[in-house]
Amino acid sequence: MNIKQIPLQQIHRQQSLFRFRRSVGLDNEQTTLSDSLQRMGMLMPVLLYADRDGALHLVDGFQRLAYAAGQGWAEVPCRVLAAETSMLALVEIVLQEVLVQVEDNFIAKVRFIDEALVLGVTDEALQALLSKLSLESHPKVLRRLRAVAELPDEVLDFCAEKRFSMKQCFHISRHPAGLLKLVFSWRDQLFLTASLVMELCEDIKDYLRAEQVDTDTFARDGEVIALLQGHGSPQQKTKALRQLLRTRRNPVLTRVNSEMSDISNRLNLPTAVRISWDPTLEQCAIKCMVSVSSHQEWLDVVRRLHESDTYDAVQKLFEKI
Amino acid sequence: MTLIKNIVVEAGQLNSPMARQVGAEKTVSAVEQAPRTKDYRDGKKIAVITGKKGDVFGSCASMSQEYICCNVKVLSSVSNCPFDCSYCFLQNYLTNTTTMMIADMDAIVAEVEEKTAAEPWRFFRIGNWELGDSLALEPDIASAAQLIKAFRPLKQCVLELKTKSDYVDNLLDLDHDGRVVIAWSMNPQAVIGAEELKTASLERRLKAMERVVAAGYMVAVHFDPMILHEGWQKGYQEVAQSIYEVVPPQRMAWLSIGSLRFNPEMKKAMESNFPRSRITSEEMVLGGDGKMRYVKPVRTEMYRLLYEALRRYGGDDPLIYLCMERRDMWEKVFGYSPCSIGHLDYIMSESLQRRFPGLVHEQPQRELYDPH
Repeated sequence: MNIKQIPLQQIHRQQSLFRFRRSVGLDNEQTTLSDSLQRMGMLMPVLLYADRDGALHLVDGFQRLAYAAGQGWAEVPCRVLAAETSMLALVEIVLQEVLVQVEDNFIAKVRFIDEALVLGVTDEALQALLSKLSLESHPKVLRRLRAVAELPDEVLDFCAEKRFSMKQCFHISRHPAGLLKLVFSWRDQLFLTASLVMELCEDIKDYLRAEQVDTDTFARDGEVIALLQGHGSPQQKTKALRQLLRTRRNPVLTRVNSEMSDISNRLNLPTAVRISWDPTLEQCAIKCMVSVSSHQEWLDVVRRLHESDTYDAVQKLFEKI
Repeated sequence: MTLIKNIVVEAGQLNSPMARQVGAEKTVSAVEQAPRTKDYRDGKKIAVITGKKGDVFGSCASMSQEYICCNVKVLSSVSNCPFDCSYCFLQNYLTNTTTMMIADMDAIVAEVEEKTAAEPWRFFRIGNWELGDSLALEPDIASAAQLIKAFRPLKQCVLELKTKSDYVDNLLDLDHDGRVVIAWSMNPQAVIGAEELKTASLERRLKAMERVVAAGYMVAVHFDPMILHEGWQKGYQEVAQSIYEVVPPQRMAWLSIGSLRFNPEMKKAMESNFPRSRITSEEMVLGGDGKMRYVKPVRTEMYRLLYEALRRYGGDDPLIYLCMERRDMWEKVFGYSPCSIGHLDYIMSESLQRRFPGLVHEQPQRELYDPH
């Protein structure tokens, strides 16, 4: 393949079909090659792809071309691949350039695969490419990658920023887009971490399914709006929202625990006595902890525990669990 | 062929009675080694007749010290199932999803004989349904019929074949010696239609029950998992009534009650495999055995309602037990609780011995079943 000198203005760099760098988070074109380029000039030609209309797309050499443009070079040495070159071969060349960045971040892999899909690389060819990205070469994996690629941009950016694992990404992609958009629309009001996003999505989804209401209805929920628009730090609002969801997801447990607290509180036991139980109600056990600082206090506590209303209350507590 | 698209026989099993029987009517391909399938649903379309590799007789996988287990023994002679229940734990359990049937009945029986001989005083309830449905493949591969024949000499055991199908034709004329229990997993039709896909309807299960009773079999019923749904109270009461319209209480070997439970990891698989099902969205808690369950007040209400209905229609004689519940739940529902897993095992043997004369090989001794 001959090396040709080609004017820079004829080369699609920003609009190149193969500018995957932006998608995979390698958009910084500040070159680290400037010293050698300054000293030696461009020893390695850049690689171009000539499409059927004759447009020249940069495939390999983004940093070198950025340097050349910055220096005001008029032309650069190029090798040009013909229009009939297979897209898979071209994508594999691009992968070599971005592999280090892509290997390190699952969302970068997703975006790389998505770019390859846009270029028309077939599913079969892509499956072969998966192993080069350290992914299992299976149609199911490809399907899941596609589902992740379809997540709203703000969700993908968040997953990339928080370094979501493949499993987390696959999981979050199972949530309806409307639900994800809703949760991310609260990003300024709430304190969102990776695990909190997962928890909120899961709890809201379960709540919506249980109540058979849609995301829009939940977004208009007066209690939710008041909570988000009220005073308090993002951390406090997040805590309050989690509590609200927990209460709504667990109406029976909330009611029974509240009834048990009422029984316990009505006893007015000395502060030295603390009654507790498993709030999930699974363990059939009531814990009664006594902490005293004098013998007299101990005698008072024992006397109090011997009274009939304490017996009745403990019996009632056991009936609840 | 019913739900299975392809039957494969391992080369070493080509002359087995199971393979020969299939070969007479169906297209069978032979392979050196059984194919492995990863996808949960792909594995349901292919059945492999295979040899016995390693032990197949063991304890129920859900056994846990915190929860009372009935101590049934399981025979892993079937793996995977052509039915498609939304709550099935196999969707998150099997690493090889190919549907497998062990053809080597002599080897199975030899292992059962060897292991049961170690506890000669004990009466063993043995089921082959832990990793599949005992009768689902009966129209394609008459494996249950062969298991019944193979178990006939084992006087220390009763074989339980559990199903959600109505494939009982092969069983009706067999000489089962009254040592086989045909069991059904039962739910109201609303649950069957929504969650137990490709299985027999309630009506068909009831008709099949009636036919096996006429053929002299004992019947067992498992209301497990009970599932909350609109109108569940009426639904379960009606099923209890319908069962006793076709099964005389004296033919009912035992009944179990349990509710929906699954490990948290499986929730994702269920929602992904069955997006229309809403069963995972109910109020649930994580139990001491690592499984999600309905909250205790709800479970108590469900169990009490069903238990009362079963007693109303079937009387006090058939033994009813809870599957994987703590002692306090037994107390709440039945007013008593077994002291241990061994104690429940004894209670079940004693009930069978009393109710089905000649079935249990010797009078069960509490101190042997429950030495502590």
